Amino acid sequence: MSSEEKLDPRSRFIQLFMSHEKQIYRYILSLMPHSQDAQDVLQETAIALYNKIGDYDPTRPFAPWAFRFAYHMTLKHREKSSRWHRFLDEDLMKEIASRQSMLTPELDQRREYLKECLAEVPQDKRSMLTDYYFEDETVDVIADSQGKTVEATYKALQRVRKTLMHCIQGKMQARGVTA
Amino acid sequence: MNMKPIGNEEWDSLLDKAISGTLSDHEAQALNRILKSDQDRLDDYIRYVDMHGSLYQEPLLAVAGKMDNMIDYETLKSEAARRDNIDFWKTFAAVASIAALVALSLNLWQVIPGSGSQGFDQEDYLGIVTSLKSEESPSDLFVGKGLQRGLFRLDAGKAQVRLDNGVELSMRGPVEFDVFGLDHITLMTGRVTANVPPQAIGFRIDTPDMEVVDLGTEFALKVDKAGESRLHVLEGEVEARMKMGMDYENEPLVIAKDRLAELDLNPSYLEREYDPNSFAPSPLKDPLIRAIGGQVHNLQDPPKDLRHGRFKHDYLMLFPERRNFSLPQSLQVNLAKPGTYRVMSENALKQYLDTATSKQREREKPVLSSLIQGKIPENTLVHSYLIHFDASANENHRAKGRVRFKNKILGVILHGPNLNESDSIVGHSDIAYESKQGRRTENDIVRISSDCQQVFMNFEIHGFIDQARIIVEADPSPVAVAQK
Repeated sequence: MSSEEKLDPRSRFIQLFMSHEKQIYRYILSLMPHSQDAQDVLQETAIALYNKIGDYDPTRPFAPWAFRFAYHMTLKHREKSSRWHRFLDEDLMKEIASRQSMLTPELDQRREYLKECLAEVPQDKRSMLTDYYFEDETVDVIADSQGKTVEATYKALQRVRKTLMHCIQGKMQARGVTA
Repeated sequence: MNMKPIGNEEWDSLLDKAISGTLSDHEAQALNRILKSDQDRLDDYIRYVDMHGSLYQEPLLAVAGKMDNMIDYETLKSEAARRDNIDFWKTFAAVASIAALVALSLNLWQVIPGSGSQGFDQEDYLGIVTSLKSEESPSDLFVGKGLQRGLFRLDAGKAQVRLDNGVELSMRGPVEFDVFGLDHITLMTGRVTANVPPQAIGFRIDTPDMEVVDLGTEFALKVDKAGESRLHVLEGEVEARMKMGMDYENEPLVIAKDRLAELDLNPSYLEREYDPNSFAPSPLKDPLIRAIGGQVHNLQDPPKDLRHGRFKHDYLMLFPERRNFSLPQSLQVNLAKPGTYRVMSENALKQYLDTATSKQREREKPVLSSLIQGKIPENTLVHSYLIHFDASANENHRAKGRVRFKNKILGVILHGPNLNESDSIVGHSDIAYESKQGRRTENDIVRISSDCQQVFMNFEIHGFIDQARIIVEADPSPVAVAQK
């Protein structure tokens, strides 16, 4: 019997969920790109997975099994918001999920290049990214701490993301990886 | 269907709004159409969103920038590990609460909310009541009450609610509305004025006969007993239409405050002149608070009962106690100088000095909770704010956040006995404070910024409540300035 099979269901869930949480979060984010909404869906997915962990077949990969729950939780969450409802219909969600799965090797590669590109970002811009992505600060608070307007801070964040996208694309092309 | 090709700038803007959650209905529909019809754009979207998600998980961002501002000081191996753990436990908390529900019998669970506590856990709530000025409000309506989906009613007086997306709703009773979600309410009857920040653009209010969608604005709506609505735009612009009616009134019409004169049409629902008495007032904002961050919620009015177990929240609740108040006697404060402090009892301090790493000691200054670092002189004109943290669970509970004031912070009072003493000096006369041993500062982090305008707190509670009284310098009156 493997060590994984010896674990009680709760411990097995924690082990599996911890090792796949980032992947599940990114999957949800592709379907519902706002981080707070995606976090909410992630929590709801975690609850559903916890309740159904007894049904999981450990001989099969965990991620695709978890994605099915994440997909349905996103569908459910989208019903609560008219805005998401207009953006995401079921056909589009299916298409995104399917394309994301096809792009997985490229996305893995891009994440590697993201690290390199981040290291090239000037300190003040990286500090802003830290405030936004790591500290979960709102744009209002970042704007205030930097003495800028909210509008200007939104724009500055948009520009840094765009620079990162260009940088990643440049590295992909320079190293002969086709996007 | 033929579609106009989209320019790169417009495309970038759509992507950015999608991840910021600020897509208007129109933009959401446009993005939907583009992604369905253009495979390249769909792939670009997936790459962009994947990068956005990866940034949330990128350890490089954990070691960059101003980590000292919000550092958790937990004894984890690395900042990346800290982030992973926080993310996991934030998610797992939801699972654990479900497990707890299963473990408890229904009867026992029903007993818990009846313990006399007013407040809420953060799950399932979309906002909070931040102000209430009403003698006739039902007993289940109070400052600090969590707002859930469903019906909200105020019989008389005024109230203010803040939704979690930053939308501020001010109302004048009698008013009744139904909350569908963060971005949508239906006003059945009464008067509501909404202030909508940029991140919540697209917020919508339906009435029996109208739909109003915010495009970045402050607008006032009132619905009379017959269900007829009237609209006034106080700032920015909205898109409004009648659900029934004649001709153009059925079509969405953009109404901009600054371009009312250019409006050729004269929809029957529009009140061009603003009568402040016939609408709800503009939502109030505390003029002294520049920003809040993390798990801080600020209330316009103080809650009534702050005794142990009476006002429980998963947040650090911030509210004013007294404003522009001249101190009748000098006031001792525990912290008054910039720095990062770990506040502890004598025993905990001894243990800390034995076990703390050199890095920890560089980052923070361990101090006894009874430390007196300053005394504010008699007759100083001050504002007094209280931070209150009394979480819903019995086990350890942690929350952190910061508040930046417009004026200088003169001192922070944290120690139970000092809080008790200062209640009668700067406390609010209508608040029932915890006056026994229920306030205890233990292993909490407080950081006062170098400009003395910001205070950061990382509070942990287990069995007692944490409070911090923040004394802020008031602007001197014009008379006092003239006398000088």
